[in-house]
Amino acid sequence: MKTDNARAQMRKGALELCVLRVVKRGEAYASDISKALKAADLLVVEGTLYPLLARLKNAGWLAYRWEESSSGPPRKYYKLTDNGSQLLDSLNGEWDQFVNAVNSLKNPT
Amino acid sequence: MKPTIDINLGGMLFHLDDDAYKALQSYLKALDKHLQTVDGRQEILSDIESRIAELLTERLASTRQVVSMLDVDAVKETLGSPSEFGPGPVDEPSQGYSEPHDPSARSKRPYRRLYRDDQDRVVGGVASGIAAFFNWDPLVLRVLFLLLLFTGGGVLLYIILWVLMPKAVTTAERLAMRGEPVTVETIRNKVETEFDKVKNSMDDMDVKGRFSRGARRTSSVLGRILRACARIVIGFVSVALLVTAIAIGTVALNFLIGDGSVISESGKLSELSEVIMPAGYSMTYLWIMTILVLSGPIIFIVLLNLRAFFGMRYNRPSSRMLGGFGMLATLIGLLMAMVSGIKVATEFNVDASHLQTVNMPESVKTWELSVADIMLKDPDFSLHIGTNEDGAKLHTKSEGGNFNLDITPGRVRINGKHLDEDYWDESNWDESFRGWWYLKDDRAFFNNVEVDVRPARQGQASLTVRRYANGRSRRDASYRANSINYDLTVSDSGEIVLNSMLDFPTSDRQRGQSVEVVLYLPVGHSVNFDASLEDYLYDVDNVVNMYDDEMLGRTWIMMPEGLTEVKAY
Repeated sequence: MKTDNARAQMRKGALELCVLRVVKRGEAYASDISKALKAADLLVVEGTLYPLLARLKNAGWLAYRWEESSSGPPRKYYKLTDNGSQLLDSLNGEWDQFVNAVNSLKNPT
Repeated sequence: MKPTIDINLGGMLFHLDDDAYKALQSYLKALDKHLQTVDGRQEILSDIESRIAELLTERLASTRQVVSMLDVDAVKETLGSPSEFGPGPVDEPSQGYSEPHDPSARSKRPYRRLYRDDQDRVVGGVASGIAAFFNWDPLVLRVLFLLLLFTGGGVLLYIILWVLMPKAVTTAERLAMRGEPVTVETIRNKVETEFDKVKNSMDDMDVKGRFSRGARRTSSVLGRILRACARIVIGFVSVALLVTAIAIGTVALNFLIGDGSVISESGKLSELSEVIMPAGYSMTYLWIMTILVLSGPIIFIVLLNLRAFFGMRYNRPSSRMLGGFGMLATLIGLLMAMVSGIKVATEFNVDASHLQTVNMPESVKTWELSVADIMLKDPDFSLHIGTNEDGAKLHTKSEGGNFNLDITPGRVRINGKHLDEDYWDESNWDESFRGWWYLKDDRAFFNNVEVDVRPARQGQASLTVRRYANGRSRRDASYRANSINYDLTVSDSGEIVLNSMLDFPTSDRQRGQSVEVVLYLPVGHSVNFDASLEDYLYDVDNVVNMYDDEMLGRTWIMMPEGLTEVKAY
């Protein structure tokens, strides 16, 4: 149970970065993003994604366009804005630093 | 056989059985509650609804048409329960998330609210929204609006409703549109959410924000143009309101706390309030009350303007706080007004009067009735200003002379009172200077004097003066009536000169003090009404039913059938 909680916290912290990375690969709609994240075992329930996407969009890091769908309502396809790309670059750097820092504690010095 | 319920999710129609409907509804409600404090809540909800629609479409095989409990459970599993996804307040998952088999689920239908039905609309969905609220056929309302169109007001009414009524966007809102009818018990609940909803409907007016999103759903170009026009009109109206509010506020404060800089032929309003407010209520009370009452509307109008021109959001914490503060201030102000108002009202509870009879010369048969303006006789007020024949030079004339005059071009001040240019013209001086009340030396002067002429019962003319006043009790009223001072003179030759005003101690307050003067004339006696009786004669009976003001300047004789005009030949 305790590891479960720790894992959930870790996922939560990295989710924003993961979403930005998925969108960086190409335009995606919410379900694409959640599939990619679920495949990587980074997401448990899809609902988490929607408030996050709205927040990233309102912050100006993501933009979207509407596209009609043959199997349901119109979909929002998200892509990175220029600001979003810059943010992702700096977050990528920070993530590497973070991983290194965490890993550095693993081995006795 | 099971009945199904039709719902609309992200623009798609689904048939749900009863269990599935309840489950989905409580799920959406729980989501809505969970996201309450999150920015862009409606957008998130409609995204999630679109996704639910997609998931349900995937699950429904071509042969199956009805969404069941299993489908809803699967959707919930995919999307997760509200407590599983943030951000949002940490909420215990059970709250607001009623399980479908809860026996009280029926009563948890949302309370019915007024929304525009965007998906069943001809122009803006106003008619269908109202119809949904009252369970009517929208066609009836559409015909009604069409008929109103010819009167002109219909268009305006429709546009106002269009702007004020929020559009039902999320399914939770669409359910609420046909939700539980409003009953007495639900009112309290409604009031709590009303403030938020009003602000939401104002959000609807945002030009930049929701409009772009709404436009996607709106195919009617006409509708968009009308809505844009409505916004412009509202913009203008709100600016006009702001200007008016500032003007009214300025004037009100100037009257209340001004030191006489405002032109006043009568007393200042601040003095009037001093003579009306109950004992113990100071001017400061009135002053604070006025500011408090005005602050709410002014803050609201200012916010409206900020909104219209700078796209500022109402739901920003700062404006929300300001709005709340304004509302509270207005409420407190109104409460203060109520407290003092009730106090004043109790002092009008009962009335009392005192009757006096004035001695009259016995030999006189023709009477001259006139009014002497005591304000003009007062040295503090008595003066004449006019232009000289040889130019624009002013001269003054005074009987008492107890005033100082300060004349600078375009501005005349008498005892600190500012007079406007109308007063420069001597011809209308007397007329316009006749005030209806003023305060002097702790006495209040009012022109509440009524004059009537009635047939006398005996062969002798008589004059009565009845002084009226109101009070908390009969004793109180009687005391007040007795402290009224009112003078008139009757000369031996039959000239009756009435004072234009009665007066009483300011500490008595204005509590309906008035004086009724009645001249009783036996048959054969005549009376001439001087023009100065204008506004003093009150409903004098005469054989030709002439109006009081027309009776002035004429001579009347009392005949057995009533007052008859004596025509001059």
